[in-house]
Amino acid sequence: MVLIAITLASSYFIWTLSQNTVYNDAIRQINLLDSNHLSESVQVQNTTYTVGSASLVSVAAQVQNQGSLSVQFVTLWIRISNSTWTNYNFTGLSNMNLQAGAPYQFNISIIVPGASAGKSYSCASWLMTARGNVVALQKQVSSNIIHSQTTQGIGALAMDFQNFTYYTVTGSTLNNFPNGMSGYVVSSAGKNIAFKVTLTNFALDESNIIIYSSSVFFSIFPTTPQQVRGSYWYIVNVNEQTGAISSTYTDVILPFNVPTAVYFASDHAIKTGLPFTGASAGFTGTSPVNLAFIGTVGGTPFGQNIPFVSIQVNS
Amino acid sequence: MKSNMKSRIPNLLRNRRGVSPVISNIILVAAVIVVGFAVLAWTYSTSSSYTTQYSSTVNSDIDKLRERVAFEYIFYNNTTTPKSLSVYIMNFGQVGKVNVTTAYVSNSSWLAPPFSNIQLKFLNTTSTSYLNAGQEGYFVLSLSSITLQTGRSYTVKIVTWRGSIFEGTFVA
Repeated sequence: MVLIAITLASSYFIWTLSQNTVYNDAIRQINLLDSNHLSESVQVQNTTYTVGSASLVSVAAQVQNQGSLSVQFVTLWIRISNSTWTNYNFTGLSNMNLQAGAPYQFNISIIVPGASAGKSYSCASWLMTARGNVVALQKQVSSNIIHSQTTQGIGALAMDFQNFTYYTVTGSTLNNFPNGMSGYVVSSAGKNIAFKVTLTNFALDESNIIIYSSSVFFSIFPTTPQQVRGSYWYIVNVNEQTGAISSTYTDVILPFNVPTAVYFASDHAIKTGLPFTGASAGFTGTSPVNLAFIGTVGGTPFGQNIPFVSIQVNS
Repeated sequence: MKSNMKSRIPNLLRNRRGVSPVISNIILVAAVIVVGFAVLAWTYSTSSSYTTQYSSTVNSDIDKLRERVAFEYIFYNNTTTPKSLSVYIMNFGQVGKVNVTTAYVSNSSWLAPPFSNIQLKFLNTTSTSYLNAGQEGYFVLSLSSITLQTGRSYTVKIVTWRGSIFEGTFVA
């Protein structure tokens, strides 16, 4: 009897210990799960939104995994709204694993039914990680300059004066693309010319600026009285890989706070029945340049003249 | 032979001497063994039932502890009739078969009647009874008699069949 009692007590004790071990293991795993959940740290920079045609909303951002664990993003969400309308959508992400410390640049387009290009929206987006964390894609803090004051004073478009380039044009191809030469001193040699300027949209409401085909780069050469000597180049679309100028024109969209290259090369505003034709300087000498833009900002009419550049054209 | 046996039985009945110590010990040991095995069998059956129940309880508790649900997005749609609340969730825990049995919508000073019979769906709108580990899904609460104040913060609380409670907040 004693032996039986001892056997029973021992087996029960051992079984109790095994149950306790199972429970402790589970708690340890849960603690690890929670610890990993809390350890995820992702920094987001340079988030931009572009509302294109067909309700396609593009989200671009740079994320960096600042934690010690790899992070897997599983879903991207986007919510856009204006004063009268709100909608959202999401897309699953595959193969978007970020090792510890690794940066990742992405540009993902999602259809948000009802969104239309050219209108002003408030956008928000976030990434879901496999560990259940929400990573908000915050918009970029753009710099120490008070853009709102600048924008109110001189307009929403800013030009990068360090990146002002010209190209000679053969047919409809930019020569020496993409490097070109400094736009301040132009050696035309009678050839057609194209200019590239880099513009940044600092619209107060952070909405897109859309540039129409009637936007023009023009200069007036000083000369004897009563003789106006002007040269002009209308805006064109250029293939950023090949440097080929498109014979047609699609409105250029300038997202908020994203430096965007804009090209001027056409003899006239490109429209249906009037395809691209190259334009030459025509005159020589030092000349002020005006960039006259026509389009929309946030769906309302927009126009701005950037007058601060001068060029010297040599024969 | 028969007459011999008949003559012995009365003799034995009249015999007043006890059984020998050897015989009595054998009888006692046999009785102890029989009773011991009976006790052992009873104890095993009782403890087996108990351990099964206990294991089940422990495993159930462990599964409940392993449940984790994240709220991906909560969208209040006040343009539909009736108004609705779409709640997107993800099971990021270590256990599958997570479902939602009850949901509550409230704010700091108000609590809507609980929502039951919740129809869970995957993000591709396929209906499902539960979400396994790593799966995402959603359910829609029909706010037929409830209007949420735009711009105000609310809380959605969900209860799973294991009894876990998860909360998410949103701005209507």
